Amino acid sequence: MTILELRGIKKYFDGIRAVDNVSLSFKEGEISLIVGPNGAGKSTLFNIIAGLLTPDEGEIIYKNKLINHWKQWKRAREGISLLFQEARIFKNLNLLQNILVAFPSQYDENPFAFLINFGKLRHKERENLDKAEQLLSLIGLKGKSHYKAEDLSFGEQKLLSIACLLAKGAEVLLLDELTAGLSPQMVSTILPLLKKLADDGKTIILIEHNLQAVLDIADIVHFMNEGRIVASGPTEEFFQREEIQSFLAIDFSLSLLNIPPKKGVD
Amino acid sequence: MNYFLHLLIMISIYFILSLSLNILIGYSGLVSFCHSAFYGIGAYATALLMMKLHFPFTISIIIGIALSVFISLFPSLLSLRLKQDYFYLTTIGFQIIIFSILYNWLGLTNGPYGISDIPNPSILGIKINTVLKFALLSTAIFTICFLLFWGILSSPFGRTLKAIREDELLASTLGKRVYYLKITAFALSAGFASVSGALFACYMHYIDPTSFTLSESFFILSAVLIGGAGNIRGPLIGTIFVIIMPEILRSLHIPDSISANLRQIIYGFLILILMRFRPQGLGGEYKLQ
Repeated sequence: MTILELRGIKKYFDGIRAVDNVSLSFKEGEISLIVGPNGAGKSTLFNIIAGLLTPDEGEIIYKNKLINHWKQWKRAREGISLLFQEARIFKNLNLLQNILVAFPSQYDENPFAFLINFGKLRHKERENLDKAEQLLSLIGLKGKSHYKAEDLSFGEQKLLSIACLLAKGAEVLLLDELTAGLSPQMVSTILPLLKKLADDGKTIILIEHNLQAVLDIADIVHFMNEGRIVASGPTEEFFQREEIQSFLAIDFSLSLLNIPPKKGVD
Repeated sequence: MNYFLHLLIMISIYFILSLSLNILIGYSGLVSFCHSAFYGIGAYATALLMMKLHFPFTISIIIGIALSVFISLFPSLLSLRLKQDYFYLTTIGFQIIIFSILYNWLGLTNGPYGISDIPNPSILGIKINTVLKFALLSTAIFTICFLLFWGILSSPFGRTLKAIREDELLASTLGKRVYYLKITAFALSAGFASVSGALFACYMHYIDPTSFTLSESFFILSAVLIGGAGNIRGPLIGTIFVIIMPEILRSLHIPDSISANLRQIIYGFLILILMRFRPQGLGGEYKLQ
């Protein structure tokens, strides 16, 4: 079932088309990969979906609702989550606090919640603390739970931002350069996790330059160039296309012959 | 003895002021220049309600808080969606507007002549008519406020404010209503400041607009900057410093005419030194950006 649909999305910056008439649909439980050269408009498209930018034209339909007018926080609460290309974290908070902030909470908008709902709040906090520690274990940073986030390396900060996203929970995950800055070992830990999320019905949309890493899990690939979607198709046959191979050879310095056909989803 | 009790009362009043400003500076990343406006609103509201409508102290203080919270919506709704720079300018403008109202609305505030003979408060039938009793009252009110600050700032609300201070955009993509939370923080800060105003009015028995100027806002700001923002300890250290400093100068027998200026120079110089070598202040944890 389609969960997210983009219809004729256009975005201009000073008259220059960053996104040009993009129409795409994303199904529940599907992992989509958007590839293309730098400046193709991929991150702009993500920012439009997440509500950071407003499209000049077009419609964003999420769960059969038009959401163009929804604010970022509303989209996030309804299940659209964005992982920024750069590792974006709350630098002066420690790792635990970073993850605790990310949990959806009914108490974080009421300054007097601790007076009104002390018991429930305390219980929820303990529950979230346990979950946060589990997430830190998952990304291998449990030993640093009380470190300030700014003291982490770039790769660790990236992992922390992924853990925050997992804490927040989402129906649609927009992951911009997920693997950038991560070690191969960590990539091999994170990718099965994404696969599992997709198996649980979450929709995952990746922007990725490290194609080798994600080809095995991607179901559909969209190729974007100069703001347009120029080609789309199932991963197995997509990279066998001649025009795609020439694009990749130029923009990704990849020999297409080295990209194995997709092994299939088991 | 009365001298030390006087110091205790003033420290209690300024503890509440600096801790409430810390909600903005240390937890929300918002530097406000209009804190003494809410201090003044609390003072005038309490004084007028007690004198003109003969309301009891507790009811007057609560109405003063409500009024400050309501009035805080005007600058915050106007400026909190905008960039920080506009927020600074709006708070300065707002401070000047409130001072002008207090100074010129003769029918209500008695303008530059101020309001005198503000009655002693009564709590549970006990007339607070000595310095000792007032010191106990102000310490009790400060303790209640302190516990509220502690509860609020260590709760998910305080943590989310800190997150907003660090990165608004990230917070909003995690589902946090940044604009709403900043307005709430501003209102909360204004409400607590008005409690200080109520205490000040009843303690001094006299208020006039010169106690609630832009300079006073800078004075409260300097307590937070010197002590440090982002935790509860910093503003407390800063407050003790700025309240005790004039007394030290006085004990050195420096004439008041010189010590007032000297004090400003010391505060200014200290802030400059701290910003350069210890931007988180003497005991704070948040470095101003």
